[in-house]
Formats: sequence, C-alpha cells, structure tokens
Amino acid sequence: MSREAVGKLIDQWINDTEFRRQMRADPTGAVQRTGARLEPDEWAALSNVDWSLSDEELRGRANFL
Amino acid sequence: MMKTDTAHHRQGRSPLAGEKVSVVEEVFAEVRSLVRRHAADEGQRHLLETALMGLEPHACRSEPVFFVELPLLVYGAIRGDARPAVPLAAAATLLFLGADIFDDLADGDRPVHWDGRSHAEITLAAANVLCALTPLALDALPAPPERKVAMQATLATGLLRMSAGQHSDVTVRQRNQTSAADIEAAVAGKSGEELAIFAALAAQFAAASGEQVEHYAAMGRALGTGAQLASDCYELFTDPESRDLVHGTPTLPIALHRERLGGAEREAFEALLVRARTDEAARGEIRRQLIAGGGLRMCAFIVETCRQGALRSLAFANPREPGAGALRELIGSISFFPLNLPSADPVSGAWHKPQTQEEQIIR
Repeated sequence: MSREAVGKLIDQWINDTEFRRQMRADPTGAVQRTGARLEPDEWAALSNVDWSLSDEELRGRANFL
Repeated sequence: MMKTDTAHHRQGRSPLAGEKVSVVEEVFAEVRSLVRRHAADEGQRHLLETALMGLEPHACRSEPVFFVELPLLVYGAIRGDARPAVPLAAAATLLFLGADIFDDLADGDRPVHWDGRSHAEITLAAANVLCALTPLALDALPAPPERKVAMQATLATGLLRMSAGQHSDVTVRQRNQTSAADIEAAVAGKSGEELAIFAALAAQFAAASGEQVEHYAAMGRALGTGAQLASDCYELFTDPESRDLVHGTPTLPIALHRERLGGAEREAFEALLVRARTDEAARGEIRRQLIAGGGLRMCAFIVETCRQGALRSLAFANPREPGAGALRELIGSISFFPLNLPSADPVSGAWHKPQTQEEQIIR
C-alpha cells in the first residue's frame, strides 16, 4: 500500500506555511487544490484529523497501548 | 499485535464502561473452566494456568481489550444482546493468549510468570492454547454443527494469514532497509488478521450473512492494523523504554522518515539508529527528527485512515444500535483525534453510510 501522495502532502505541510494555514481552515479544499490523488479512506481521514495540533500536542496523543 | 507487556492505561475509553471488569472476569472464568475441563493431566493444567497468569490483570486494567470487547460488540450489533457471546470471547481470549506467547518468544521476551519454566514448556503451552484449547472453545459453543464447522474454518484460515503476517514481520526485521509499505503490510497481516478473526467469528456465531461476515472481518482487519500502528507510535514517542529502538525493530514511523531522506541524510540516520540501541540521547534525537520531519503526523494520518476504513466496513455491515455505537466508539479508541466524531447526519444524528465511491471520496 503506497502512501506516496500522503508523504508529499506531509512534506508540503512541513515546508509551506501557507499550505499549513489552508489545511487548518479547509483540509479537503487545500488538498484538492494540490491535485493529490488520495484513496477514499484517506479523503475521509483528512477531515477528521485535527490539523490545528502542534507537534508537541500530537506527540501527547501517542498514548495508545 | 498489541502485546500484554506494553500495557498502557487509557481510562474511560471502553464501550463496556462500568461493567467492563465484571465482563472480563466472566470471560476469564469461562477460560479457566475450559482449561480444567480439557487439560490431559495435572502437569498440563498447571502449565496452561501459568500461561494465563498476567493476562487477566492486563485485561482488567488496559483499554481497550479487543479480544473481549470485539466479539461481544459484534455479536451485540447483530443480535441485540451481547451476553450469549461470552463463551466466544473466551475463545478469542485463548487465541490472543497463544499468539501473544508466540510473539514473546519471537521477540525474546520472557514475562516473570514464566520463571522456572523452560523455553520448550513455553512453546508447548502456546501450541496447546492456540491449536487445541481455542478450537475446543469454539466446539463448545451452542450453535448448529454446520455453523461451528464454518467457524473452525475461519479460525484455521485466519491463523494461517496471521502466521504469514508474523513471518513477514520476522523477515522484515532481518532486512536492513525495510520499506514502509512492507511494514504496513506485515502489520495488516499479523495484527489486522487477528482482529478480523475475532470479528468474523462473532458475526458467524450470530448467524450473519456471508456478506455481513466479510464486512465485519474487514472492519476488524482495519481496526487491528490501525491499533498496532498507534501502539508502535506509543512505543516510539511515549514509552520511556522505547523497546523497538533498543531492539532495532523497524516500525512505520522510522521507515516513513527514512524513505523521505536523501543519501547523506539517510546514512546519518542509519548510524543514529545503530547508536539508539544503546544510547538514550540518540533515541531522543530520533524522536526529535521524526516529529520535525512529519513522521509522527503521517503515522497519525495513516491510523486515522485505518479508522475510517473500519467505520466504512462497519456501516456496510448494517449493524443495529446500540451495539453499532459501541463499535464506533471502540474503533475511535485507536485514533489520535478521538473527539472528532465520524461523519453523521447533522439533523438526525444517524450514521451516514456512503453509497458510492464518489460519495466516499467527497466525504
């Protein structure tokens, strides 16, 4: 299962502050504008991820057994 | 699979909520009864009881406990009442136990309750639990013979898939530079299949249609895969022991990060991984690089993808309430974003089942 498209989005998230702002406001729209081709479950996941979390806050969520 | 010795407490996240401990006790009473009924002699009974030590306390204090909750909730989502599935949860508990012991053996782990027992005895216990007690537990279920034959086939084929996943996992670890896709596939094979078996057996026991059984199995597979990936993130980013780094076990965040590095950066990262086996500062530096490089965020996204896959399969299985809601809660327990509710009709609050691929994509 290739995660190439997701990897590119994450790279853009890290390197592009304007893209980060767009993702926080409208993740589906922001990704659609990049032309990325995601799998159906990846599209569904997109709008359920809390893109406002900082790296440290996200690390705090890594608390599953 | 989520191992017993990496137990972490996520209080208040079990759909069984207040009655969880009593349900777990009931399931383990059934397991102990199976051991007493079927052990061929006193020595074997004592060995099997030793194998059980540690699992019940783990089940009572950890959340979620998939081997208890998933069979009960799937059965309840089909038939309305989960209680008749307690003996099935006992069978699932035995399956988990046998696989967990084999996993410990593969990892070189040796929980303290095995003190005084030889490697051969531990292997024997795992084989007895998995190959004898689990099928016997299924055989004891109150179901028509043809349904039990189908369930035994589900168990056998599922175990073969799990074994293939375990085999991939072992060979993946031996390779120096494993791809993220290989790791994700091995996790799906090993941990995904285990929960697929639990869910499929419950659906079959509840006399679900073949199509429903497939949907529940797919739900379990996605849930098990996401849960293991979330567990790997916990081990890497939160658990002070960081056993995967110490053992040099390649997990998804590591592979994803490595794949996105260029030549010199990748070589430096490889050297850091080697140092991390013995050096806490190197382990801290790996965590820092993974977080800054987006590895954790990407894993969180992939776990969310698994959650969405599980929810989609559940919706196609046409579960009934309130079991459906409890299953959605269980699926949500793996997510980094538990407060973000799955797609629901904003007016009626009803769970929205996507009808077409286009509609799924729009969501």
